[in-house]
Amino acid sequence: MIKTKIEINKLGNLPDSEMRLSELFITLSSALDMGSFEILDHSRRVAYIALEIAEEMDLETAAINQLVLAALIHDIGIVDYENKERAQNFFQVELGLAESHCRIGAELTEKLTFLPGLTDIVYYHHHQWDGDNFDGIKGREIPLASRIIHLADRIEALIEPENFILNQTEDIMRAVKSKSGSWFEPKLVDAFFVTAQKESFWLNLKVKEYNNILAEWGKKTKMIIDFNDLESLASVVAHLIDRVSPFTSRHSTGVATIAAMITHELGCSLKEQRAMRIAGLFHDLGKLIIPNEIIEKNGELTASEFKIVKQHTFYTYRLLNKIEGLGSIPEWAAFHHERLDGSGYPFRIQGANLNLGSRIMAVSDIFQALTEDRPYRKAFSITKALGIIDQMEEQSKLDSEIIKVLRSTI
Amino acid sequence: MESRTNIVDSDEVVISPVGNIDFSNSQDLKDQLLELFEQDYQKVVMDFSEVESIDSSGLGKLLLFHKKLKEKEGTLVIRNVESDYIKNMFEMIHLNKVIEIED
Repeated sequence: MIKTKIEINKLGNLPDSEMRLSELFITLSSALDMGSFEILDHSRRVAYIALEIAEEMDLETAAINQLVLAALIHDIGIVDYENKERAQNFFQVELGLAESHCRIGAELTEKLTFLPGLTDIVYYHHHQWDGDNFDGIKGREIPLASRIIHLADRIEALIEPENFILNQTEDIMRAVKSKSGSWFEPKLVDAFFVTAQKESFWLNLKVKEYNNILAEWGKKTKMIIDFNDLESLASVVAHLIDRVSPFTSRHSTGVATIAAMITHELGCSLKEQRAMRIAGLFHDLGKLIIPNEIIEKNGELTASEFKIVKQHTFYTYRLLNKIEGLGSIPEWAAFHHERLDGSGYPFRIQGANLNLGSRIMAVSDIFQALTEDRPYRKAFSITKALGIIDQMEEQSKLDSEIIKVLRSTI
Repeated sequence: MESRTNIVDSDEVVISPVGNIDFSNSQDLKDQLLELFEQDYQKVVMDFSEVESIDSSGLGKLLLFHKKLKEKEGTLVIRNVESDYIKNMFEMIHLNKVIEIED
């Protein structure tokens, strides 16, 4: 996993100036699709179906890119698992749920200021073609990309994962046809019918080939991404975490703030401080996969619950590391439970392979965790927290220089 | 750094820093805040109406001061944030959910 030799006195590498939007959005979409214990693929499957329909319609590259990016995050406004189930597994979505998640989704998408076109697409993705829509907008007033996502989303909702997909195609096509001209624009239904003739279209969904197809599409989405853009994305991720567990979200803010401060005190550049803050906001991304009853449990965790929790940094790493060009941000974010003596988790990395940024994040995470209230205990005092951290330093688990710097700021 | 301190009563004090809170002066600010901490105010209000910017060092010290006050059941409140830059920063990193920010 460690590709290059680590220089432990160096913070690590800054992100590149160019990245593929596709990779940023696929990571965001995987985070959105995290269920308890598993990552579902609803958003990526909708993105793939939308891409196939758009290609059948010969849309231009720029329009396709915007469509697929929006499709990847179309359900960003869904707040909880119950609503996710109701919106993604049933053909007909209740008006109230459609309206609320489209509105919240557009508000969140608006924070991604570097992609202004996506907000409207997300907002209108449940609008019906001839619709009795909540704001009276219908037909061609609805953005084309929203009309396509609406169709793709409903097709995906009809697929039953437990049954052989080629046995379902006729029923699905019949259901879609029955809503042509009412829910869906007839021209789009026609394009879908051409695509749906191909067994390969359905089999790509069955064998998850859509991941490779989306990766291939994404090669054309490379663009300049600056620190503002990255930080706005990290901020949206923090929103997602916040609505599942406000406790985890406040924790991420604290870790990000303390890590950036320590990075500053060590004489690192402004860019490095900012990159560390972004990594701090991302560091508990993988907690989205941990059932909330465990995260907010009012008592010490059992051994088996702790095993479940221990996966979170694995997922943080796997999700962030899919984005090429993030520099050391995946390591800084995900290695915060690794310990210098190799006793940490989940990669059991030794100190010789932990760069300065990862060491700073480990100290910041522990300090923040100890000094905040937990469901089952009050916050420790700063003095007591530093005492516990000193013990860990004596056991050669944490970096003494970084602890010294933290102490000097208090 | 330049700042004014305005004692409301024996429980509450308002401190109004001026200009940029950055590496050159965040130590001074920390010392001023610690002095107020020693004086046992329960509520420390930072008036940001004349603060133009704040860096990582300043943000970290605000968070640590918030923790120290909380230990004594006290609160830190930031009010009158005029600078859009600072407003955006607090929202972007969600610090407004940790430290009380009054409009």
